[in-house]
Formats: sequence, C-alpha cells, structure tokens
Amino acid sequence: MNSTADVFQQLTRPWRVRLLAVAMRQATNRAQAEDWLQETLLRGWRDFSSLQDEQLMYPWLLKILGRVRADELRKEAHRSQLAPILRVDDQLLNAHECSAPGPFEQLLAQRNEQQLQQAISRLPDDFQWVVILRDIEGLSYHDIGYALDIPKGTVMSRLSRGRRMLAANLLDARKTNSMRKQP
Amino acid sequence: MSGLETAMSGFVYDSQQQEALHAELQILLAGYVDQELEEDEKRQVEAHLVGCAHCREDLIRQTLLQQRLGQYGQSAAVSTGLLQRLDAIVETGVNNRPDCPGVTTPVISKREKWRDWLAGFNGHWGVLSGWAMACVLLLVLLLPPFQPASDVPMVSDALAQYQRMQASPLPLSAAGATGPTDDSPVSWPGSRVLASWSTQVGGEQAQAYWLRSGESTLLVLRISEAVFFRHPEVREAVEHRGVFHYRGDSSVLAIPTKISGVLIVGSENALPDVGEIHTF
Repeated sequence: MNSTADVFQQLTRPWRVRLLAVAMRQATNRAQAEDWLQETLLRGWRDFSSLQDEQLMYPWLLKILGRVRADELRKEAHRSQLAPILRVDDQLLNAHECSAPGPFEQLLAQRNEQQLQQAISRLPDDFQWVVILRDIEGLSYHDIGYALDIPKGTVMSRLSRGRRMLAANLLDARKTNSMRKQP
Repeated sequence: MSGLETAMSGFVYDSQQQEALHAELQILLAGYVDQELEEDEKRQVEAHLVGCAHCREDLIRQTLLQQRLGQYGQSAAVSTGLLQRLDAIVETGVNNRPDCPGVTTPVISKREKWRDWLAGFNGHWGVLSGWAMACVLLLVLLLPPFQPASDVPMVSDALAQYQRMQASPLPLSAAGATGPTDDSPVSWPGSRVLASWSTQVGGEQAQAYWLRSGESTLLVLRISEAVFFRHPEVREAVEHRGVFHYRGDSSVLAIPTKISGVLIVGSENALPDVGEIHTF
C-alpha cells in the first residue's frame, strides 16, 4: 500500500464507527447503512486530494455520506416512481409552529431510543440531517454548514424548525398512543 | 424593514411588526440554545423571551431535546467483515457492490507526490538515515538548545508536546492514538475530543486529548496530582486564584480536579474561560 493510502486509512479509521451510526439512523436497515458507508469511503478515497483541511475530515466524510444517501434515495424514488426527496414547506411548519405545551420533559424521559429514532426519521430530509449532526453528533454550526454546503444562518433556522417539528412528532405520537389505549 | 431591524432601531413596533419579529427570533432560538449567537442577537432573543410565552416554551423544548439527544448512544458495532471490506477499498480501489463501478486512485497532489517520492527510497534508508543523522548533529552543534519558556517542568513538557502536535500533520499520528473518546477530564461549550493517547508529563504517565474548540485545536493533559502540585509557583497560584495560568506564545491553563490535575494548552485567545470549564 502506498503512503497516500496509509494517510487515508489513518484519517478515516477513527470515524468509521460514527459514520456507520449516522448512516444507520437514516437507512431502512443495517445492510443499506453498510452499503452507504462503503460507498462513502470509496468516494472519499477517489476524491481524497480535494480535502484541503485534515481537521475537517469528519464533516467532509459526512458531506459525502449525505450525497451517497441522496443519490440512493433518488434511485429508489425513480425505481418506484415515487416523488423526489421530501422538502418541507411553510404549510407543514405552520401546522407545527406552536406545539402544545405540557410536561415535555416527562414525555422525553419516557421515550426510548427507538421511539426517538422513529420521531427523527419522520422529519423532512434537510431537517433530519441538521438535528442528527448537531444534537447527536455534536458538530459545530460551522462544521454542519461545511458538511451540508449551507450557510450558518440556514443551519440555525433548520435546527430551530427541525427541533420544533421533532417536538411536535413526539407529542403527536403520545396523542396517538393514548387514543389507541382508550376503549 | 424586518422585525429585527425595526426592534434594533429602537422604534416601537405594531402587532404586525411584532409578529414578524417573533418569526425571525424563533429562528434564532436554536442558536441561543447552542450558544452560537452574536452578543446583539443574544440580547434581542432575551428581550423577546421576556414577553413571549410561545418562545419560552419553545426554548425549553429545544433545550430538553438537545440534552436528551446528546445522551443518544453513538456506537454502532462494525463487523470484522465490513472492516476488511473497507480496508480493501484503498487497496483495490473498487467497491465490491455489483452496481458500483471501480474507481481509479486519487489524483495525487504535489505534497503527496513528495511523500510518495520519499516512500520510493524504501531499501535505501540506511544511507539516507546516516546523512540525516549527520545533519541533525550539525544543527544541534550550531543552534542553541531549545528551552521551553517556563520554569515549571510540567508546563515545559506540555508546551513541547503542544508544539510537536502542531507540527504534526495530524494529531492521530501520535503513537497509540485512538479516535474520539468520551473520557476527557474537561469540557466546555463547543469543545469536542478528536483523539486521545498516553504520554508522559513530569516523568509520570499522563493522558493526552486533542480537542477542537471553535476554529482552534487545543491539547489537554490529565496528569497526576503529585506532578500537578510539585512546583511551589503552581501551589501558590492555585491557593490564591484556583488555577495556574502561564501566558506565552502558547499558553497553559492548569486546573486541579478531584483526583488529578488538568493542563489545557493552546493559543491564549483560544483557551476557554475558567468559568465555562466543566471538570470530571
């Protein structure tokens, strides 16, 4: 193996597990997440020389993962003649603008990881990404902006709206569950 | 004029403008929770929060969500088979998925070509290393010896390690380095561990962490209590001010913890405020 390959391996190895975890949060199954990870590293290796700052390795890989995922979803949408990737519009946001207040802390404490994951996966694509990258992966707004090719202000607005929609999803799920329990 | 601009201009705004301001400030709430706002934006949000119950509720929900999701497990076990397939990517340059075409090796930059050129000397290292040794000896004889600019040995060690890490192309090149870990002895808003490895400070075992904080990278060293309090200057500073702060081209903040001591090394303006630092 030549030294460029060594450097690439050394830079990417520490991030593989986290990349797989991010992929698994958005894929329908583990096999798909592993495929995305493999494709991400493949494209990363192909475009390695375009990486300007090694400190940005993880956001750079996340950026590639985002593209891999978008490409895969586009292919799937094309195959099944479905609509393209869901985009949020004002109507959807307005519907969830002021989710009902209540013992939200208690509600969150009662949700397990699977239920949280389901609520996150119901977010529109753009919002799902920023919530995952900020609140789960802990990236700075600067790094999220780099990974998603969007300015810091857009990161902030998507995060504000994404969290509001996520809160609304969790509250909706609670309502649905309590209605099911009623005889 | 937007609601925010109107508010900042000092005019009294009507209900329509109030609504516009509410919509604009709602967008900033995430930045407020994550401490990513400028000072003037922060003041605007705080002023709005006083009179807006919706935004206060939203802020509480965002804070709770951020905290809950932050506890989300980040691990995903990677099977040996997958690791082997990932390793094979750079060796073969192809993905083993049937629908994916092979790729060529990356375009090599000048820096990489230089590195590869050096790699081409494989087998002739005996001769090269002899010349290198001679050059190093000559430099040692001609140049004055490097003296870290502090009388406190642990600070000198920390500064020397920080300088080495800065000169290194990547902190992970430190021997035995691992990826991000969660056992950093300190954290502050916006800090993130990039790598960790074992090292020596003051002649004793220590643990090093390479942290990202905003645009800067800092070295954090967890050292033994004995090494930390060895020097009288440090003992005196901790007794009077709670911390020892060395200021220089690179600065060092020494903080005692319950069972050990922590050194944070970086440029002076990149060091966190003592009040922001959480010790574990």
